[in-house]
Amino acid sequence: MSDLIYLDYASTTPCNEEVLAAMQPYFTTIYGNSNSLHRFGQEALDGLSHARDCVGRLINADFEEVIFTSGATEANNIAILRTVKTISNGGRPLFATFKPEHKSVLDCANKLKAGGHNVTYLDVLSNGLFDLDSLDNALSNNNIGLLSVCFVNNETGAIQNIRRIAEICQWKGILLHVDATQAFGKIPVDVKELGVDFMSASGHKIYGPKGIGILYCKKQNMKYVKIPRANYEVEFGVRSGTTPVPLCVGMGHASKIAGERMHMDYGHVKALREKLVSGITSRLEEIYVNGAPDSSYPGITSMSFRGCEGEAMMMEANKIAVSSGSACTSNKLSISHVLSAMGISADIAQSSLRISIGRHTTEEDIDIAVDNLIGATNKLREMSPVWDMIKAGMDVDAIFQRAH
Amino acid sequence: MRYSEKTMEYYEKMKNVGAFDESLQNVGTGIVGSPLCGDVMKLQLFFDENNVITDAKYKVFGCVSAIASMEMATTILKGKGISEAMQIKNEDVADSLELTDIKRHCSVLAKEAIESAINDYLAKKDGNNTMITITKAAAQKLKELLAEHNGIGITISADPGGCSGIDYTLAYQVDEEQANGMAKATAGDIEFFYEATIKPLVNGMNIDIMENSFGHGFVISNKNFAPCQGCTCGRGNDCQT
Repeated sequence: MSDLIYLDYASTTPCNEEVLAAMQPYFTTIYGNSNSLHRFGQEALDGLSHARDCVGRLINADFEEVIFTSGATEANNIAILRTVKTISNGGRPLFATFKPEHKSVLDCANKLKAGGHNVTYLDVLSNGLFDLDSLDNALSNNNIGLLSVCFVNNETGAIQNIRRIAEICQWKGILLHVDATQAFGKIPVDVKELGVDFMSASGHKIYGPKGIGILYCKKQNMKYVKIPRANYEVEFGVRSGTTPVPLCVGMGHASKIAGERMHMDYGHVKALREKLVSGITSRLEEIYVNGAPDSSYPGITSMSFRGCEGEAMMMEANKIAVSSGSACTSNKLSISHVLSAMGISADIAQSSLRISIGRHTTEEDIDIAVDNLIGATNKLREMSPVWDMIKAGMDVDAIFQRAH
Repeated sequence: MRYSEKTMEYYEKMKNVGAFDESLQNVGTGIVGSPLCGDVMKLQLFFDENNVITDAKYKVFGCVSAIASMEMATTILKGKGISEAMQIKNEDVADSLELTDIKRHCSVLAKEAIESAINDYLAKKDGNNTMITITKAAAQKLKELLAEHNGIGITISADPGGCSGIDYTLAYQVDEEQANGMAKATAGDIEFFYEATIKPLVNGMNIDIMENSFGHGFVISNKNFAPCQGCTCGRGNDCQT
């Protein structure tokens, strides 16, 4: 039996069976509205509270600091848009983020810009990490009120030094929002120790259900995100609408499992990623791993197979399911903004694949993936005019006059 | 990315992948596109002594649509003469492959590759790189007419195909700005302007004049395209008999 091998865990994960089982009663037997005062409601509330507690424990947040949302995107929107709106009344309207941020954060930036706010986009180094030395400077020169940064980049796996960034922000009185979607449940995250003001996370990235996420909000920052004069208040006044208890229970349980398995899961993906990279680079030349090898979550790998276009690679490597940073696979015909922001040349960015390993990936999966990718690369290189130029030692960028 | 069956059919074939020796006189090579937009296409056409494409090969750095477009283009190019090849529109490729809107640019690039390869072949063939030749008498008459009409040069338009051969039109160019946006060629001390896309049809033009007591008429022929002998095959200038 040759099933398609799933290597796109960064995009979403299958829901854990145990998590599904934990959720089930809250659909059918403990189905009360957690706002209701009767026993049905209170039982549901107990389940909800327990879930909230589990999430809090994973990131060392207090009970009232965990707000359930429909996902990380909503959490990002709440943290960024509401905070900027609130603080701009006080005279510090600016919002800053980094160029390779997730699209949902960039969308917030666009909305703010359209609303007349000032937005600054900060640069990253070629390895995808932020230049902490110049960050200090960059944040001083602008009147910034809120900075949003990604903990683990969803394309390259690059891990930012959040602790240091938080220090700089605290020193300057800047609020810090961290999008921890790819970090939550995968690497240790302690919101108190890091010193962040807001943090977003998602359930379906950690083998939990889709449609649920959380916003961590430090107690003293609640005033920035509460819905003003809300009629239907839930989640400490930050949300409206009936809280989806089953989904919260699912996220709570998934968080608990993630915490218990974190060390083991990490070791597992690390070993498999090394196998993947060494397997390919030992048999192929001109292979690039994009990002920071020293500061990177091994579950996510952006790899460029020079000379081979990303979408064609995905088609040819037909035994695996991955995603690509190439223009063709996006709906907009533009290369991955993450790789562009890192200064990676167009031909290398176009030849990239994002391979993300997860809990269920086996060694055999990696062996098959390696062979499949090598076969695809060799086939496409034989019919690639760009590969011919690379082999002839030509400067591909100069030939095609890279616009930068 | 959902592709039509037709696109997948051509993509999977990859029969015409390969290359010819670029230095050969009867090989035309065209490279178009850039990694920035995600597609680079290299098309090579092998011509016989009658300027008919007997073989076509390609290499592509690009997505499934790009590869399918080239596979289709090279398939339909075989056996065509220059004039016929120039008639291939990008819509023909896009429609046959049922390309979605976002992928249609691949067919446009394929069309550019065809033009590029043909131009390369013709440039090679014409060692002197003299695009246009003009007889003394024709040149003199044209100069007279240009002075009368205050023209800065002559604009050439050309429509390929059909049994009557290539349809050339000459016009006085008086708009300098418009002329600046066009390709140029000089012959007989006269400046000729034309849209770059019709270069293969302009290349090899000869302008002569026929004068008699009733007036004058310019006679234009092209050494790269033999005039149709009048059979009903519809191949027009690509007659092979």
